[in-house]
Amino acid sequence: MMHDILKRMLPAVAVCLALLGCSGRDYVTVVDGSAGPLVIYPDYKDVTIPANIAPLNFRYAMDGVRNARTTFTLGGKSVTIRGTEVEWSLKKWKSFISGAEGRTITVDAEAVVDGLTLTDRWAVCVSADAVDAYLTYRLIEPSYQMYSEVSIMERCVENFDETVICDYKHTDDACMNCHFHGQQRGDYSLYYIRGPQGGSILNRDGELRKLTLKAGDMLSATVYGELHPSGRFGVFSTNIIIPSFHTLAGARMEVYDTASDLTVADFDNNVMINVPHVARADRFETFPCFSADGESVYYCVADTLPVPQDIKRLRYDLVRADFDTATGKIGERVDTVWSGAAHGASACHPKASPDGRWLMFTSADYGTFPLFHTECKLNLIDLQTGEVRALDEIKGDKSDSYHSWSSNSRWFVFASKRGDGQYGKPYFCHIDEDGSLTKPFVLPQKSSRFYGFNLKSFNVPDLGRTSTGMTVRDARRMFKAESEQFSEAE
Amino acid sequence: MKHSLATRISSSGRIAAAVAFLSAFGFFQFAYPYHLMRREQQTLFVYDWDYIRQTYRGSGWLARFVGDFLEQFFHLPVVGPLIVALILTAIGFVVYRICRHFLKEWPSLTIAAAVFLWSFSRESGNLFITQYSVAALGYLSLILAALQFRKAWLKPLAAVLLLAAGAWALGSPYHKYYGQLWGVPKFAYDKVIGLDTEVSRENWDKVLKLSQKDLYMVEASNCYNLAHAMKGDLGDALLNHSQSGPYDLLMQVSTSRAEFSNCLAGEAWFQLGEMTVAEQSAIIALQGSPKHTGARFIQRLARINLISGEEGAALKYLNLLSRTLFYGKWARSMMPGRQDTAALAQIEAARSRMPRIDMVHHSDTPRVNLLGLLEGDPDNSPARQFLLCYDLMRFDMDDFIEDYSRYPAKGHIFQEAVLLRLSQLEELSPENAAKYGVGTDMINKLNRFFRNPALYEDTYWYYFMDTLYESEQ
Repeated sequence: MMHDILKRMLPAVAVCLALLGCSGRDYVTVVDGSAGPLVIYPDYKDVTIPANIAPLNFRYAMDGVRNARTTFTLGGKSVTIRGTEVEWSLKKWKSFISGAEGRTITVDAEAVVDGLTLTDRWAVCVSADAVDAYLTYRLIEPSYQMYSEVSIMERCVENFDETVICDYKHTDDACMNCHFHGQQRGDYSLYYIRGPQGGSILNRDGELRKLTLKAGDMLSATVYGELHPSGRFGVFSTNIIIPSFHTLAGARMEVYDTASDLTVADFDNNVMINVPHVARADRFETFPCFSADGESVYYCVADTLPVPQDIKRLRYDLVRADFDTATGKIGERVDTVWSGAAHGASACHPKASPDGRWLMFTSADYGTFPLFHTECKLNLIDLQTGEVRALDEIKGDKSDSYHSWSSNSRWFVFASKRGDGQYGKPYFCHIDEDGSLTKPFVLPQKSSRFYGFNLKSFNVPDLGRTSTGMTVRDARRMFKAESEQFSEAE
Repeated sequence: MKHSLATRISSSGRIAAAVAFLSAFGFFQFAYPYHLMRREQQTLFVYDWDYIRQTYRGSGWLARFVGDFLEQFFHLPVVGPLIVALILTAIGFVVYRICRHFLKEWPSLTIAAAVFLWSFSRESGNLFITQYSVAALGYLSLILAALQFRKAWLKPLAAVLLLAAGAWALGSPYHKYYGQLWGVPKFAYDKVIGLDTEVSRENWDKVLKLSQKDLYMVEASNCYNLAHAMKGDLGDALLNHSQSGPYDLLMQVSTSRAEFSNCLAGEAWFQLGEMTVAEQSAIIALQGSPKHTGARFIQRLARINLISGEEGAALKYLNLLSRTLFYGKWARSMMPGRQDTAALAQIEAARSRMPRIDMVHHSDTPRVNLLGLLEGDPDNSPARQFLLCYDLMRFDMDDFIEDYSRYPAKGHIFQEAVLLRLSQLEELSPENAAKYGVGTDMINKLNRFFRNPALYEDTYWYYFMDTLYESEQ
């Protein structure tokens, strides 16, 4: 009987789907596609890629495109893919790109668009520098008022494997904040689970601990931060964060702090090292990070202003202070590295390159959380010469923020809302020893249509050399575990 | 012979099935009409193989796929109840067939009826989604399939194997929110989601018709007020319905509100022209939908972004909707560059209502927002009515007089409030009233009101007096 029912139902469903257009691909209007004559999405034209990246799957994103034929040529090798969706098998791609470091792939494309045959040609440079193989990010809807079904993922960028590190299912629907690596190490990282049973999950040498990084009169548990190269310390901000709306539609949301301080966690002695000069009531101090050698702390600071009324006058400087690696104390003397007032802009998210040469940060017209600021862009400081420059050549039409360095300092990834303005996507960019950049490219996906259907933001992408090895089972175990309490250092 | 007897459907079985089908259909079509429509608003079925492959993966993929596929048809008024009635009847039918392998006619029918009623109760739960009835039906069908084997020893083995395969395709038939074990129809809730549904479709006359029965709920008052503001007569109608306070007009979008209220809150902000709050409301509603993909909210996001001029975001949502059955035509017609004159005019009209001045806020100070909207477009009639009503609901007569002087609007309660304020200031005279466009007939009405207030319950004077009296008590 069941067999009969199935026999009758399945063809009916198949016919329904086919009739209603599943097989058709007529409608392919695209956001943020490449330049012509043949428009592709994602835009992988004239990009530089690492040899260890996953296949650059793309599609021809034009109405009425038919009979597409794409030929990839590298030295004597040539691969042709027919169809409007250019999607490689992983094995074939790896074989094709093997030994391509320092060489250029030529792509010849031909397709019929509205009856006309169009041809196109572009190059893909394969860098001799590899990118760190693992990328962690939080998948979240672009609402900062509520959270639901949040998860932290780890993606191997060499293929399409994606592992869930922590998700709502294993933490009783708790919210969680982003995962970040220490020195791009897979066995040294931290993420937060929020809520009554939450805590900071520290992964040190692969051993997991659940910590309550709050002691004394701290404003909140720790928020933004970075791990020290020694493994002993973490530098963090504590913030009272308020989300709000702009009335101008394109401006969307503004997220600001009503108070913020810095603190240092000593993971060996379970103490929070709070010093008054980075916890001033008349200053907002936030977004701390260590220099590559761990001897300095960079952070953003602004004089307090009434917010949100004066939010548009709120400009953060980027400053540097010494860090005492014996005591974990941030020095009192502060050098201004980049002045918000002088530039008529505001700094956030500084990150030093692992080789100590560069410091990258984000700037916006004002404020501290510029995810919806279209003017928000990346800036690069040459720590050898002190030269600062805005990375206008890679700026998208929407915000670029939350960058992370690859361990060889030759690649960085950043979250960009370019195109749709709502959903952050990870873009990779190569930087050479002189600081020259190449055109950024988005994280490749197995389906060339993935980003069109995706309704979640890739939040705070962070690179790691190796896998963290963490799974949702670890997240569950940590969620259920008792949290280690921290006391305030004397 | 024994086998065919056991599985043959008797006439009483047929009658029971017909009764079950008709009662389920009648219930969802006539007694609980918005329940399934709301479910459709929270679902998206995209006709694209990549989307299908990307979306329907892992345990329970088949139940999710079939559930979503069927739920899209709930968009149509009769088809939703028809599908649910068929599923529920099928559940009863399969249970009956299973029981007939072991029991006689009437015990089998009794058990089938009990399972039907249980499934029916689940279906009436306000968060329930079709996937879980599909999963239940799937598992029961697999048990029935196992019983088709002739050798007795093979039946339990087949059942175990089929159920194991079913677990992969059907997943759990239970979910703590969307597939609860028991549900109870909430008729008042159905009425308020009916109001919300009609508001989202901009069927203002239908909203007013449904509002004739006062539900005494903030959400219902919110729908009533919005419909009247859109019709231009809120100044006459405000006090003909229960009002609990100023937030009946413009609700805050925030974490402290229920998902349903947050979703509804965005409707008024959208109609007034405040796109940022409306967008957050839609995103929160999308998050609150069972699979984070509600067609209604994606359509709203597309409209908001078209109006805001954010074509990149609009295209993303329109591309998704363009491959749906019931929103595809609309989405294709709204694609930037393909809009006809009517669509362009509609977008332009909505765009003209948007604020011109930027301000950072938390959607909890509606007067500031409404004044901002009126700065940009003084002809924004709903915003004028909302502003004046908001002042009156807060009993802030200073704000009211200031706002009424700049943005006068039609409505007897506004004229009543003017006289009340003049009276408070001891400046009530025909000349002073005339400065605000209030005639002597209204002054005469005020005199009559003082003689017998109970006859004037729909006046602002009565509301003011009554509320003050209550607060003094």
